[in-house]
Amino acid sequence: MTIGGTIVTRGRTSLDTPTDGHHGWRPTSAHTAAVVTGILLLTTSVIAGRADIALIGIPGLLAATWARTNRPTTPPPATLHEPPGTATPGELTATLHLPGTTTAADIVHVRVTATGHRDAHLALAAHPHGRHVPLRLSSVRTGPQETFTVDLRGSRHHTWEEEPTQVGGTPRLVLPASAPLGRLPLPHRLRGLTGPHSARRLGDGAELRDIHPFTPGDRLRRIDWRTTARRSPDLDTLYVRRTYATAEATAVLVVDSRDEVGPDIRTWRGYGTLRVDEPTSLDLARHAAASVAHALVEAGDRVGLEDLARRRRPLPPASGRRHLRRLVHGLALAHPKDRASVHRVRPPQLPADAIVYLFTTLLDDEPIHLVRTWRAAGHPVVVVDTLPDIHPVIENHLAIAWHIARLERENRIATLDREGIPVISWAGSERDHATVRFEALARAAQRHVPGRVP
Amino acid sequence: MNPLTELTARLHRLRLRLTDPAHRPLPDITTQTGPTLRGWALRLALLVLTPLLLLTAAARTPDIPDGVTWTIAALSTGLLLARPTPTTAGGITVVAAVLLWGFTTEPLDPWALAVALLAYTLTRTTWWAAHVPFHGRAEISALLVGWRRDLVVLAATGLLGALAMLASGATVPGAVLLAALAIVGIAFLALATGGSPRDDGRG
Repeated sequence: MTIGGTIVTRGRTSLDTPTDGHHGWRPTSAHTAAVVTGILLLTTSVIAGRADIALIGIPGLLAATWARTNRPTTPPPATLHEPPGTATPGELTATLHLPGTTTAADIVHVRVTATGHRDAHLALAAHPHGRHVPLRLSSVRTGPQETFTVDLRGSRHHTWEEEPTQVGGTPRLVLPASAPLGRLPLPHRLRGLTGPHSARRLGDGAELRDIHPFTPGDRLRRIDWRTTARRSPDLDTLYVRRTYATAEATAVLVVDSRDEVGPDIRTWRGYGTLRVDEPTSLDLARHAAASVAHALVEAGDRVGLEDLARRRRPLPPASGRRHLRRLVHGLALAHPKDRASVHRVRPPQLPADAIVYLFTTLLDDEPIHLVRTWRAAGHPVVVVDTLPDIHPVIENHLAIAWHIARLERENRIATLDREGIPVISWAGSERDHATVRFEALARAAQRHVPGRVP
Repeated sequence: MNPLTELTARLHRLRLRLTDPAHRPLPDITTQTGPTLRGWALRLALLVLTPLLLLTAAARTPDIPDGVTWTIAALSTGLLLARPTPTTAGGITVVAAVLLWGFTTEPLDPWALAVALLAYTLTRTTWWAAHVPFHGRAEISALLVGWRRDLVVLAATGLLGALAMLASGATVPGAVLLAALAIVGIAFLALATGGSPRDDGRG
């Protein structure tokens, strides 16, 4: 049958939408069961001549008849409101809006699903003027994240039921948070004509280098009259105050996002689902890199970003809060790509005199090659170990595999240590010591550069 | 391998299996609702209500052996817990009516009002158990939706029972009459004050 140009079969269109005004509602088996039970008991009572038997079936029969005469109407569809913009870890929220009318559902059955979470089944009382239900996920993961899917079905008078509907949230980008860090290691040579640090060359900084006799080229305002009066009362020689120039440091954050592994090594094979309440290696790398970037940018240094899994143009070093937002955004978007684990023939090109912060799990030899290349080019390197604390496993073959992988990894860390590359762990309780390690490295680097005062 | 070493290894493996973090339950989605009741509590209510209904129905029938009554109650309870559907609840209501019938010639037993109340409550609870999973939650306010309609339905049932009693010429105990009058009064009061937004008894 065709109604208004639309093909209708059994009261429904080709898109499976009902054609009548009360679409989506149907009486359930509760209605049928109440009617059948009531009629059966009434018949039995007539046959047996017992009115009390009929009484047992009458409440259900009355309620079913009452409900049948009150056919519900379809309310406006439910909506899911999510905060605009990006999110931070643990802040994946949304609000489910259930619109309502006095003639629509009186109870709404809700099933909320989200990746990595247990489904939430709720039966909620519908308000005639609508109600809002706040939802929140327990995920600590960062990067692009799937959010809620909500299945809804209304019911009225325990008899009518609405056809299920679904509303879904949009995937959201969770930006990594940053932990406060103290001082960080800086490159041996600072660059630029201005910046937060004192360079070793003469310039217009605030750091006093020495008192020197006036020479051609010295500015008159640098003459130290007090010293001149003390050393040369006859004003034969003028003395000037010479200061160090200021400069800025350049750091490049290199995130090894070729793989993402969790604490459960059963998921390393690519099967199984990573838990959302445990950070993966990439989450730790994002967090560590965001913390380092935040500390460096706040100190006024220039920070760039390289992603080992991507061949696209990296974020060049720059400073400022807007650039920090770009960095954090770039970190959140870093993720493993297909064929990303293939050996990179050419390591990322770095600006001259930049310090490299490499965030890696050290599960293969690639980081070692990269570090050696950078060291050969004169770049100081700090390796941040982002492998999470691994859970013990019961399976023998996995335990043996992890034992071998752990030994190889320890061997790599020992190699780096022998070559003078600091390795700082960022997982579990080791993260609390990272600040102290960075501070110690900054102090150690300071001792090798006499004359530089932070 | 040394038996003691093997035993230690087995114990270590057992401890690992019991404390394996990968086998923890997945985290919950946090939702902000009013006070709720778990789905298992509804099934627990069924566990109480079903035998109560059947034993109440059989209480006035002396001819049925206790063993038969308890067997029927146990089977019905198990069936309803396994399949909490309206059809099962209707079937148990019919069984309760048969037990009340008792093959006696009494035209009307006021005890039937209590059985009717329990049967109606069982039907409602079964509906909720069918719609709320074991670990799901139902808001208390949702459970109370339609209480005015339920009260009116029960009052109408009581009224019909009283009329049937009067028509049959049976003597009505004073307490039963008072209880019926009280239910009717409360029902009318519920209808009169039923202007709140959550009143679904008026359609």
